[in-house]
Amino acid sequence: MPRMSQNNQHISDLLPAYINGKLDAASAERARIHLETCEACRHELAAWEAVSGAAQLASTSGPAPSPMLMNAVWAKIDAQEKAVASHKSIRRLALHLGLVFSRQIPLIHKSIWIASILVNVLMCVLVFLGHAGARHNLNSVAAVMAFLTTIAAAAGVAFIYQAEHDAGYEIILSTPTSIRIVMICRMVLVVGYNLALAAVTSAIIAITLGGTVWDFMHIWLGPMILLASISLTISVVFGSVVSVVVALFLEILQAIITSFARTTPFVHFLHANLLQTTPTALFIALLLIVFAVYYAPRQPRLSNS
Amino acid sequence: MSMGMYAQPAVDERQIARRIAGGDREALSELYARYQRTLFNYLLQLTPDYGLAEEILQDTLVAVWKSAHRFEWRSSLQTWLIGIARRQAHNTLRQHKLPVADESEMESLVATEPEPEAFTLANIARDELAEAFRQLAPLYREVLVLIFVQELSYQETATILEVPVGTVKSRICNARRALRALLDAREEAHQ
Repeated sequence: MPRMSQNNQHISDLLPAYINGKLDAASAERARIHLETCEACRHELAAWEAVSGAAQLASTSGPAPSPMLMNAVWAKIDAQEKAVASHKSIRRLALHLGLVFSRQIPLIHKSIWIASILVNVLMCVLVFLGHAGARHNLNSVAAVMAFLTTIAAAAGVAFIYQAEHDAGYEIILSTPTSIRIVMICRMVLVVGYNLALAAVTSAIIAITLGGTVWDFMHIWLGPMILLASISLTISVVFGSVVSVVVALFLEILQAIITSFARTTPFVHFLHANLLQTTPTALFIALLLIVFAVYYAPRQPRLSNS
Repeated sequence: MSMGMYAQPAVDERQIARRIAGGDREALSELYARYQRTLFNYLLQLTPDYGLAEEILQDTLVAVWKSAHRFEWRSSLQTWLIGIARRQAHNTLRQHKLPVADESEMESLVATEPEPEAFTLANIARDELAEAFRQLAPLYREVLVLIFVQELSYQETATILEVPVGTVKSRICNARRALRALLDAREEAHQ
């Protein structure tokens, strides 16, 4: 509320509001009474009215906006709503993937989780038992570790996608979620789990025997991912049991290759490029995973078998 | 001042606002039909560029469409709309690196006593006054249009301009004085 002028005070600052009718009734009445007796304020009122008239004349004689203006408005609104909708659908997709991912954990067979833990515990026990001897033979420790952790991961992966071994397979087939996405999620889960366990084991061994974690990790990381992807591909095409057998065979082959690596040039090439963490090994692994993911939906559906 | 003026908005205005908030496109068109002159006349005080004023008006309606659900009748619909138009105008003018109404004017020069010019302003022809008005700084044209053309209260004008009520009062007085100065300059040029 503006301060109301006393009758003997001028009311200049109230006059614009008096003219546009926005003074409250009491103030307007007092202003009217003051104006009756104050000539100076009457002149002020006349001046404000002149200003008001000029403002109205000058501002209302301008051009009108284009009659098509609302079309431009709707175009802008549509464009913005489209952008928001696509943003939302990306978020929904991410949420959906997260949900599918977390739902895979209970659906993967418990023995896969347990077997990997046992393998890693076994590794630690072996290292601690042969503490003194192991210290002088770090290469053998790394080789044994690569053998065991890699086969654990490969065996796990072999069983992640097979109707006969999967309690949740029926559920998957009755949901709209793509088998490919389910498979990728499980692959990431099982390999990631084995990777984490093996990394912890490597750290423990590195602390116990000396050396850096990477000294041990690079021996098994590439082979683990490569063999896991081979295992996945074979399990999708020929079944889990064939896959495990092939994985075991490859592992034994790897052990033999490793022991001949120093003497035979071709075997040395294989050893250097595929059986360690190299770009070649990782690239082949990626190709195999892509093939398996592409091939997966061609498998016979549950209803056909 | 009549704070109660917008305490109870017209029923159909309430309905229009509610329908816009609910996503009714017809309602935004109705609002536009009702307020297009108000908003456009106001925007033309802030920029002389007709095309730019149209662009700002478009953005104002887009902003109204997006924020109608947050409108709570703390001000009248008209005050709310002009406030949005002003903000859009300032954003656009800044983007185009055009001068935004200069706020650093000497607002302290408040007329407390009637001035001699009051005796003559009323005697000047309306056309001539209107011509002088068009030459006023945007800052002054804006406040005069809000008070005398949009017929808003000091409080509503202060809300839109985001300044205290006292600043609104002093700015109107300064605007009138600037108008007077323009008329004097024209008089001298004619002689």
